Amino acid sequence: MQQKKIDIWVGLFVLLGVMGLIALALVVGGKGGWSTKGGYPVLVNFQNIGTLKERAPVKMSGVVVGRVGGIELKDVNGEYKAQVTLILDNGLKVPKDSGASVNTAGLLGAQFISLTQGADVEHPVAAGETLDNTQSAMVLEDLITQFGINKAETASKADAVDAPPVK
Amino acid sequence: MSVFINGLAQLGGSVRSSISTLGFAMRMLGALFANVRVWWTRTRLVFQQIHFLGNYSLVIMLVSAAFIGAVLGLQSYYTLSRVGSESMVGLLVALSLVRELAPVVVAILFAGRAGTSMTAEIGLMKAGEQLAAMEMMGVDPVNRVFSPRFWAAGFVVPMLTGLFALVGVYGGYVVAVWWLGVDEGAFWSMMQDGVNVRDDVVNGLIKSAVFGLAVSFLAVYEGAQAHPTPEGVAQATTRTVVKSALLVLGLDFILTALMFS
Repeated sequence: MQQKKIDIWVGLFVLLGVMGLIALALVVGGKGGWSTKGGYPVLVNFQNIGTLKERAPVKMSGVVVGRVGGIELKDVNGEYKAQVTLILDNGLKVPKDSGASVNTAGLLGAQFISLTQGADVEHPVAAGETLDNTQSAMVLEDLITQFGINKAETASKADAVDAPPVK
Repeated sequence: MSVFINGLAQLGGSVRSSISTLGFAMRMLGALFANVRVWWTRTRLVFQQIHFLGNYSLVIMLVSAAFIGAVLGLQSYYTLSRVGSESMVGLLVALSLVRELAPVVVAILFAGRAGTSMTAEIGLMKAGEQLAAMEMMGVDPVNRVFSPRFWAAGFVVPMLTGLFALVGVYGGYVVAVWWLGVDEGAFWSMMQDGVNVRDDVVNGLIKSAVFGLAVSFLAVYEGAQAHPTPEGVAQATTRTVVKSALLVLGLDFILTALMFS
């Protein structure tokens, strides 16, 4: 009887341990830990999404109104674009001409989608439809490169002005 | 002249005794590893040890895990929010727990909770001449007493480490998301994007299995080497904790250098 009791407790321990290991692998490395609450999907196509990740927040006026449900590379009219599926909260009516942009929280923080409300309040976007008015992520490296090019151009112009006129 | 010769003899004696101690330890370790069949020949004994070492250590492990995760969440939030990267809290908590803290803290807590009792039990068996009696009856103490403890610990510690890391991550989650207002989606997505199951989780578990075997070997060895007096047993349990902590930290450095560099 005593041995059976021990067997039961060991069985429970092993079960808990194995479930813990599986849950750990799923929670820290996989898809567990967080579920998308009910909402309706809206598609947005971006030229570049930077480091946007699934489950990043979708914000409107700074308030979280949904989550990024999925990210895929899609052929849109002969051009490859990052297609982001937004899961927006039920009850939220977003006009069809609203804008979506990829923003960064702080200088180094995670990226999120920011929605800017459009003017066409009469026609809200329906589930599965696409928002066309988008702005890509600001990529810091691109900005620095652009800044470098501008700087070089300005310098060469200044050199040209400073140089003595050729006689 | 005689002082010099006495000194030389002392040096020689200490080298000889440390080599013979090391030899005894290695022979015992070899015998324990060779006796892996204890899993099916002495299953009952192994199960008793899993029950004793695992089930009884669960509470202290889980409570410590919750607090360690919470403190990690709190500290990393204050540091990361200075550069506006508080969404990384999840990643930092998970990586520190899975790779380092869970295996090391579980092994050290295990040495304190279960290792000491293993040493004391075996030391008292030795003091009561039970080990000698077993040998007289033709029962191998390695097979009957040492191996079930050694192998049970090697199995139990990785399980406890997995649970520790899981509870720790949720401790960090509660502090960061519920209390400090880190975005929930960012917490999980940053963590899941940055943690690799094969590299981080599996390596962490391999580490913890090594630590479990190391701690249980030390505990068993110190018990078998204890002076058969109440004082000797007390000293042996103290040595188990001190040596286990140092061994685990040293092994951790070596394993981390091998696995993650």
